[in-house]
Amino acid sequence: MTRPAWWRRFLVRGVFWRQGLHWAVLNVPVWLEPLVIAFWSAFFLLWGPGRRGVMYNLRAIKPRSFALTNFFRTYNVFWNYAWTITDNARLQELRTVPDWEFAGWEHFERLQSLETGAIMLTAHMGSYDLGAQLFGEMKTRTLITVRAPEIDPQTQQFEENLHGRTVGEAVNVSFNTRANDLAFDLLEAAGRGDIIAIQGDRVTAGVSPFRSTLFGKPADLPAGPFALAMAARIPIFPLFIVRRGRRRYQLITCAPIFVERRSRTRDEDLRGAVDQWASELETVIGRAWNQWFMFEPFYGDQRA
Amino acid sequence: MRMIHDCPEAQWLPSRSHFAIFRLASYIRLLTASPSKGVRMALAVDRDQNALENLSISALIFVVTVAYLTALLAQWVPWPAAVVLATALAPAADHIPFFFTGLLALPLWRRITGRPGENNVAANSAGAMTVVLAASLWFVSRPEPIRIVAAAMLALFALNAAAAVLMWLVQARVRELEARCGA
Repeated sequence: MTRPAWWRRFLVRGVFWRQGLHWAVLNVPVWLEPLVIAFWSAFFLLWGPGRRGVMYNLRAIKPRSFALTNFFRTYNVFWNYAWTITDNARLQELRTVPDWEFAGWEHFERLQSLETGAIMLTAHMGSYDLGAQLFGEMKTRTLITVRAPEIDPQTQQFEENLHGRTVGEAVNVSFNTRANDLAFDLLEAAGRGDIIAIQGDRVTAGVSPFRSTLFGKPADLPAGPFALAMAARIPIFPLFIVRRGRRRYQLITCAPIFVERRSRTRDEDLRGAVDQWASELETVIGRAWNQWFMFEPFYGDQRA
Repeated sequence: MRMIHDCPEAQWLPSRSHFAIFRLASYIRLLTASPSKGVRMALAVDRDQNALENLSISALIFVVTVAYLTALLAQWVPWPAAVVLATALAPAADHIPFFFTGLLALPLWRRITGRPGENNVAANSAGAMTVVLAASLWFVSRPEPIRIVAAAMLALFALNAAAAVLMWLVQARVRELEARCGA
């Protein structure tokens, strides 16, 4: 069923809510923020598909939990998501940045000191823009962030306009709308020594999947970052942004994953790297399950 | 915005708090903080960065709003029902007025005065606190037990004013301590 454009604005992924958030950042007193966020997090629990998606994923992450417990955990996920997108909107509107803690600093330093390009493989945790801002502040090299486009065209336009005015020269945002063209662009960027940030926990339309295991369930992860690392001969650094409190985030950098051509089949070469990534992903999500903003089921028949 | 790198005690900088009571508490904590080394972190210097302050003021405003709404609603419904209704209405009551100020009053004010900008946070913040103060002054004169809540709220306003005076008196020392952290 095709809905009229004016109605699509008000759907959960519509532009109305993004505009509302940015408006709130410019109008609501900061000392009322927790109350307002608690209210709207509860309101968005009415979003059935998102709520059910998180609860379904929690069944795999926390297998021995009651449904009611997972319902309250889902609220916790929505609460953290609301804080994260608010911090992101505040960065975009007011240039207000959060506090940062670092884990795996030695790996982050190694990433920065590389003479070749590298891939930063991330998950749907924290905020891409907050991380990009931090990276921009370090000002060592160009960061190319690849992200899935918004489902709603008006929301996509809104996001593109925002990125156009908020990220600096050191950060280049690419929306993954033309998979083939983008692959060549990224290969070229890797050759120049740029750092490419890609989300590696969800397969969207047009992205080739690679079957692995996450929390004991068969899960599809994107094959692209690993194929790119193999083709460009660059390492992959798993990197996560985890919210640690109000306006406080932790940047977790893990040991690099190397994808090398060793066997006859490409899939065999990719297998070890993808499984290593899945293991890192599982460890971080296991500790920070309330930070994984995956609103679609990641396993089973209910996958999008 | 300024960032301070690898200096954990900078989290106690008074300039990371909004209200004078919390700035004073941060100042006292900063006086007793010992320098740490080898910790990798980056702290933002912004007056709304204090999480404890943010959460406690928000909780306080919620409780006071519930109390004031309960006192009003109890005139028409039994008080247990008034408490439930007030609890449900308080979050909306606390931020719905900003739709009026942000969408109508402040844009109109800007058009009249010709001042540019879209950031209404400071104006709305001052306006909302004035409303809380005015409501407390009104409820403190009422005969019902709600006057106790109102009196406590007014006492907090007075304490904050006293803390502001103290912070003004030690401002040179605060600047010196902040400079030590690189702020």
